[in-house]
Amino acid sequence: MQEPPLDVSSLEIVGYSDVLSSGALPSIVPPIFRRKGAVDSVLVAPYSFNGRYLCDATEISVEELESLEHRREVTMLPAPIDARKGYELWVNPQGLPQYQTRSEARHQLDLIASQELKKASTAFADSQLDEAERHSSVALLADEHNLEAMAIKIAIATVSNDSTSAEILRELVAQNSLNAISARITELCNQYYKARPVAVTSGCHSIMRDVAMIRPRP
Amino acid sequence: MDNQGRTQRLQSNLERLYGALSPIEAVSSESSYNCQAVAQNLPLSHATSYRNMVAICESGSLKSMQKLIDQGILTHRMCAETELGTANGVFFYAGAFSYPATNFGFLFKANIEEAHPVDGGATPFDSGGLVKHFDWGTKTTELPIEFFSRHELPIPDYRRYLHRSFEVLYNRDPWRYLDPEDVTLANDPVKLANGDVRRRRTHEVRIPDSVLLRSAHLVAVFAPKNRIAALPEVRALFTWCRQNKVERRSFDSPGGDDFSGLRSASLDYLREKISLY
Repeated sequence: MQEPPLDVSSLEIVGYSDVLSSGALPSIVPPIFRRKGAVDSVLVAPYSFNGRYLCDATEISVEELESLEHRREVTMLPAPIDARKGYELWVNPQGLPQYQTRSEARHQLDLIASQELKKASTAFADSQLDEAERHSSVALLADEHNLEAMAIKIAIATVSNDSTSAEILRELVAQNSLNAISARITELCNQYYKARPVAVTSGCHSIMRDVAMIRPRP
Repeated sequence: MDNQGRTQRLQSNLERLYGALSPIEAVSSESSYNCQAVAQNLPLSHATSYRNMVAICESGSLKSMQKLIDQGILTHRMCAETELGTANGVFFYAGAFSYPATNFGFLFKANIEEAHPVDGGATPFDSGGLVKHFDWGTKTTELPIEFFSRHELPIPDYRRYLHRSFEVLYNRDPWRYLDPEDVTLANDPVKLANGDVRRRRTHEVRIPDSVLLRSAHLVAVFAPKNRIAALPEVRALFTWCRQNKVERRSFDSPGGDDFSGLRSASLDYLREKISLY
């Protein structure tokens, strides 16, 4: 049953929908709410917020919640947190839940994305592709629209001759954004081959032609 | 109950529920869908969390709770599945992803049911919802497992009932089943009330033991965009899908709400496909 709107101040957060390992962090997570003082049921996503009201949440019983936890579909917090209007629940790279205003959470996530992107760029420049892959993943998890992190990932797949992976990554980027980062991907590829020279027939001018033009190292 | 007795019970349930719908005249509809073809071909959906997605990708199969317990991956405990005797089933919905709090999803072809006419089963609702979620008229005197037993249907024959439901309950418009409104259905022989309408209306299918992931039955995989890019297990599955012409759908997850994106993406997919049936 979808619940009528509930004032957020009457709710507490008891967990979140997902079970995340370190490779999937950081992540914003949808809280599982509970009415303060209620023990029989909780409210799970999907839902929406209208000002200070939680709307259209789905109510499930505590038994179902326990079943979901048992089946590794949700994570319970060690202790409930008072729900607050305009706040976001997220899990930091160390696996610790954070509950902050939306702008504070966004700021923290942007900071993580920026730091990880810097590490990814450095690792890529040093031809440490595994490291670059790992750091760019964290940057994308912190900021799903981070095009520079995506450019590094596509460049890694391209210079690794993993054309399928490169295509799958390209499919995730809107066409106008892909056009915008094509030159950057080409630049990254050329930067990599300059640092680790290989036989290249005619440079790395077009993202759509990268794989065809670059010969793998013997 | 032996297999023959179970088969008879399920068949008897099907005839009773189908018969309860049969005499009712559906009103005319503008829907252009071929209800019979949609009912016969509607894919089976299975949605899950990140952690289980990784386990599924690594093991290459979707496993029942009982199998996970037998393998020492889960511990035994009382839950809806143990109460209803369905712990040996891998759970699917005929239609869109409808289980809340999930992030990733798979769609399988309807014909995966054909190998399990004896040991598989279906219900015209999410069976787990009978335990502490849905209400029904005789709830005070009838246990969830008794209600379940009266409504368990054979696979794939339950699709006859699904077809009749489209005709009678949903005004010849399968979309009203796939994306239901929370209104009372006239002439509904199941008559469940309360609880999440998506789970109350969906047909659930249970296939015993385990289901192979990378197979000819897999038709589509759904995942949040940034997790495809960031998680090697997910990208490896998408790579396999691309090489094997399995459809891949990705979605944004603003505010961490993957389920809304997952459900919308599956509805978009189904909207495209059912118009072709």
